[in-house]
Amino acid sequence: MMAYTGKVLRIDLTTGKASTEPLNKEWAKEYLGGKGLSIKYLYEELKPGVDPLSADNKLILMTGPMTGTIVPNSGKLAIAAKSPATGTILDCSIGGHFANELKYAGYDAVIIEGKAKAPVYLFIDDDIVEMRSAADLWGKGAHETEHLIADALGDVITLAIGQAGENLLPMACISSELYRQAGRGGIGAVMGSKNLKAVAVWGSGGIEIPNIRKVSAALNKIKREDTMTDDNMWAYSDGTPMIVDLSQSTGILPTRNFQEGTFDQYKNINSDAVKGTLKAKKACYACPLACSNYVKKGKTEVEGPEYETLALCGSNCGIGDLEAVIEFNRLCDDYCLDTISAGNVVAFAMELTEKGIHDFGIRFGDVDNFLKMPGLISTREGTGADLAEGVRAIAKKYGGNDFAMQVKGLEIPGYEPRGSWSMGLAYGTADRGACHMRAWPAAVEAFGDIDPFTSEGKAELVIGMQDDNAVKFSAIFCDFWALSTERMAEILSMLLDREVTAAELTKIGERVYNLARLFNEREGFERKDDYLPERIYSDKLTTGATEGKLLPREEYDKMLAEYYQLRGWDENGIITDMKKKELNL
Amino acid sequence: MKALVFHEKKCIGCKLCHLACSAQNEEIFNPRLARLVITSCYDRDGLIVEGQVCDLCMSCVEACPVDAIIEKNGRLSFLEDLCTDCGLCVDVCPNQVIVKKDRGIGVCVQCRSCANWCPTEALTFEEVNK
Amino acid sequence: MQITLHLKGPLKKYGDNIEPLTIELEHTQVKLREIIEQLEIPASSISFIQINGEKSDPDTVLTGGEVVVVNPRVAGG
Repeated sequence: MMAYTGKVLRIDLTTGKASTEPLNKEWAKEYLGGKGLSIKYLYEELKPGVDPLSADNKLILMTGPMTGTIVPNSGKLAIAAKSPATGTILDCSIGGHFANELKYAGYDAVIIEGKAKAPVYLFIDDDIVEMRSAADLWGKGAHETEHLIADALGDVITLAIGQAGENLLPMACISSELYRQAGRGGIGAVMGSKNLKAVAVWGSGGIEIPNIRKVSAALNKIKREDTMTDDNMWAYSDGTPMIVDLSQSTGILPTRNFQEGTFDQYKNINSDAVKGTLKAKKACYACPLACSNYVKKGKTEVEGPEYETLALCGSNCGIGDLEAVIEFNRLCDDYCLDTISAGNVVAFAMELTEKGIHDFGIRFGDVDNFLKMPGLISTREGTGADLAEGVRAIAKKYGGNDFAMQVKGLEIPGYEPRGSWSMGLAYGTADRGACHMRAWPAAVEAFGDIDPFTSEGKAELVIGMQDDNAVKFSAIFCDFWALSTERMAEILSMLLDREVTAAELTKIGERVYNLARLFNEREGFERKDDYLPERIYSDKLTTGATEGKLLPREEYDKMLAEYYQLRGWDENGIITDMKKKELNL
Repeated sequence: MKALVFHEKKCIGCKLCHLACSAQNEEIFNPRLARLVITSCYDRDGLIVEGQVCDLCMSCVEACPVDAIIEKNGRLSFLEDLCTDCGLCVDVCPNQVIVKKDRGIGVCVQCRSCANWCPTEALTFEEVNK
Repeated sequence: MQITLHLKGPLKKYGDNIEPLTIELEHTQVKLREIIEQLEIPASSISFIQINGEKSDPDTVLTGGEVVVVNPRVAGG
């Protein structure tokens, strides 16, 4: 199978047994790897209606055919399970150096099942798989967990959870190398529910392909001429903080729980401000773009903060203090809280407090209490007990549903849909709830030439991006390399024992996206679940380029209807039999 | 003499150099077979970036009892037929960049694959004082 | 008459890595597009332009005193 190892490691935590099996070749051809292949395994192996926090849910770590090779931007790992936050399919993408190490240990994927009787961590050392006691690690943050595992095992790469994962928070993430996260949908709680504190891996092997020198030379040319170009070097020059200024000037920077689209203190948290604290640029495995900024300010440091953190934990909480945002970021990474959801939860608590609906003891811009939040939420202490459940659950208990900023139970990322209507549709139709990584049309709309305030053409735009990204995250390429499907095909053809075409990849993308939808459909999701919070439809923004703007419900409906039609789904968002047949679902 | 030089402040820790080296010299993508060691990771004190490359110090050439490692025009070469797998060269290399293989060893031959791949010029091939 | 020009991220190299640049307007009817062409910034490398903080058209005629920001393309988020 050339660049695949052809081997899957299956670990049953209930029995403590590990076994290997061949990778399903037919599925690998139809779904590639990463996102697509992990969803395929989950679709086939999970019973409908399974409780995401039960032993019956499965956690899949999936690499792709390019993982571990010299292909630029091929260092990501997909981690998938049924989501505790949404009940949908959930696949996350994490950078760093775990994916390649797993491949060098000899595996394309790890499927983790069951539940350990007591806290454990896994050590995958080539063929040797050990389940070790995590009694001494339980209760510790992910950072100390990684350090202690490194003390014990040396040169390994680790995925770990913090207290948020142990306490089964629907916004618990998985951390690796301290500051890399599989962030969304409560993937860390799935680990916690299995009593699995960490997975450490070390691999001694490698990947052999024919004509390796020739292929490497061709890839180096591609790296120079197509990766390290004007289109992508923003990642190195600035990284995602660059987006703060773009969002501010186009009025889509979420501010004070999405009450406004501009932030008067944006200059305190923009890229220039972050650059003032920069100590080093840092890359994932095999990535020449190095989007990460390792920063220090005052007594705190982090690899970050990324745009999402600056927006959701900065402007959206009314916090214009960069050091506070950095410290909040560091705390979230250590406790293993997704900063997008955590920022939303804190902002929602601030608005509920200011509106007198419920007093959470925190108001916009209140730095002192803001910094107490990650700890309180992760350990469910004090006000954290309620906040730990996420925005949707807080609204259900205390009210404020119209401005509970979530879709399907997942909190909204950092692009205001009233100033980028296509982002609204992207959030509504993303497979795991409000997500900006399934499609990021803001790039060509709010930040490009397309009119943000029209529903026209948006369905087609979003579908194209969703399918492109679905195949990109299956291959797996990092989304920060804006490469064409033709380029993907060219590269995959170098590594696989067959010629891959762009048309085939586009089909794979569509198949992957539809399979994710089919998984959700089986769980009972339909049209009614594809809507945004009422605030987006009825509260006018009041500042900047989006002053007076809404995304009217009828316009949203229009986009959604067109979206279903172009997708080959019925009016209720259900995939038609014809489409299923066409995609071999 | 020209040799490889590592500039830690420019290094982003992508390991493309390790991959380029192992592909060129061992025909496999395996970072542990690279004839250089670049580390970029976090410990309790923060980010650690370190790198060791062959600086043509000639310790291996001097240590080899059977002249299986020779230097010519500023480049090392390894003569596998002469090697007795004694491991002395691996032990004496101050930079620990000689790879021990099942049969024989791998030394940096200054092929510059690593520098050619380095996206940030953290690895350069330049004049060194010897 | 002059304008202040910020070339962001990878576009900075088109202005000799100086940010911001001060550009003298040669006459009163200079369009921003002409300045961008003079600096040899490929149109395909630009996401959008801001003039005095607002998203603007490259065909805008400059009158002097403007603060112009030229943003590169970005991906992901």
